[in-house]
Amino acid sequence: MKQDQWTQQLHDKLAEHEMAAPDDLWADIEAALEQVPVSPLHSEKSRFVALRRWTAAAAVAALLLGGGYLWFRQSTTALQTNSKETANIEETADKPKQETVVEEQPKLLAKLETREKTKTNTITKAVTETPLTESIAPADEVSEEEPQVTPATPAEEKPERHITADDSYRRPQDITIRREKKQHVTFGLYAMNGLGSQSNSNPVQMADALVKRYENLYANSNIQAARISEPVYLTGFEERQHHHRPIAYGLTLGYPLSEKLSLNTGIVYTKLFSEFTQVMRSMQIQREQTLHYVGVPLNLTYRIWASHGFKTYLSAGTAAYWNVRTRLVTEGVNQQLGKDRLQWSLNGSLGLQYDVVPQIGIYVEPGLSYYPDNGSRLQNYFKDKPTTLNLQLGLRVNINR
Amino acid sequence: METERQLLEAIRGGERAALRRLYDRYSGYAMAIGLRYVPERDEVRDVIQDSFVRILTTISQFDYRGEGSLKSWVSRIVSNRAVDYLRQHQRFMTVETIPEEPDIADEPDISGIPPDVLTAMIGRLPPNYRTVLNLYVFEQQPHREIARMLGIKESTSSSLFFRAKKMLAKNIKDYLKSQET
Repeated sequence: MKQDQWTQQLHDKLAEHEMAAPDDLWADIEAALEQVPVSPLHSEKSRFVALRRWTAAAAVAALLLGGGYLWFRQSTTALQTNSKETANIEETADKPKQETVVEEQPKLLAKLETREKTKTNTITKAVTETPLTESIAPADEVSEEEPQVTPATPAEEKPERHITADDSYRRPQDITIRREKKQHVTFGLYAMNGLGSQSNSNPVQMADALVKRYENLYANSNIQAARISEPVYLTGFEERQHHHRPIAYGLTLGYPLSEKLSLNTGIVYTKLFSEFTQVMRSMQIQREQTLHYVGVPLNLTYRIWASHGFKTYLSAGTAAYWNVRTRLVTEGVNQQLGKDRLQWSLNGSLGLQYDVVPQIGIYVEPGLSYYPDNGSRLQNYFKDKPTTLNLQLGLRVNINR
Repeated sequence: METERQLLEAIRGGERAALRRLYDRYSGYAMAIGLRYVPERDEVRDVIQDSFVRILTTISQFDYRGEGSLKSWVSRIVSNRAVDYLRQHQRFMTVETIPEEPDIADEPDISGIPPDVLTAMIGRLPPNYRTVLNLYVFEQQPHREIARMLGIKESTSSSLFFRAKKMLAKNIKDYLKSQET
């Protein structure tokens, strides 16, 4: 904020100015403090902040690089396979009928990028030796589906349905083709909300310094020269906590491992908001705590069932969350708050996806997450409700289709 | 001299005398801030007492960020408590109810004015004038934030500041004139 010269002079003149406080003011403050526990400062904190930031940055960079590599690899392999395949066909393209096949190759071969060379050759044979409609059309999602055509089925899938009745279509190499085409690298984005907020109140423990004073008092009066080993709680004091539902937004990347199994990772932003009210007899102190986390999940997803654009799947895995930013406002005053430690979670969910078009699907994913105690002193939703239900809504893009 | 870090470590270690040292170190500074908002001594006493109780009871949440950060934190707490006090005990006047001040062509030199006198002059400004002026000049808050804190429009905060500045300049000129005679 820019101050003009006169205002700056005024600031400089009085910024460090001091005026004597009333002599007996400390006595009143001390009397008030007798009623209030004074906690020691946090000891952990800034030493690890830089390291955590680096770790989070490294994780994000690794994710982006990994995603980029997978994308690049998919694209490159597709192009290589495409060109090899085209070359093979062109070598044998002495029949007029096969020229038509060559024109169709990009559409088919773009879906075969992960195949081995030998399998690619087999496909070439299939393409060149079988009628055009049989070799290309079945490649789409046909296998387990009903032969009847429904209105919801995309138009491009229609030709294959005539072919599924043909026995020759069910040759092993063709089935292999179908399986390969089931696999898609996916990108997705989603929003997630924890189900239910959480409130509780805790008693306030007497500060160590005050406990020691009581011990000394006992020792001096010869009543009971013993240490107070049990926690001493103060009457009329409590801390109320209200943890709001967590909100998360994520980007995901899914990589197929087999026909039904895929590995999913990504990056997720999670916000936790909590309100604390310290009640000290007649006085209350309000604190608002906002924690921002960046997480990297790693899940295995198993597809249970798929039909007519719908699919259900089970997903299980883990996630690591780095607390990248904190905000603490005590009675309207911004205060510094050390960051949380690395937080892990175990996650399981059941998903239902509907492919609006072959390339884009929307999904809903109710799930259960468990957040083990990370040992930090920060109080948040994860600590208060380590096992939590959540609901994820999202969009998936099948980039190979 | 004990650094802020050493002082905080002593408090963390449960040394109760360190609380007193913190008070001794910053009570004069807090008092000067408080008097700019609440000029009556018996009233500002409540503000300072309340501020220190809050400082000492929430100090476990204070994150040390270098020498001076504790002092800045004390300043913010006192300032916020003073604004709260004014809110609770006095009705802020709206801009419309404040008469226009005459334009002051030039801003008077303040180098020769004792800080106590200048503090008292700020304290004599109308409550909403001095609140905005203090938050803008000494707490270095932008008008957007001041507006949010006080529940007023940003343009109102800006208007209050300029009127406060004009009134203060006029009072300083009057003071300087009285010193000449």
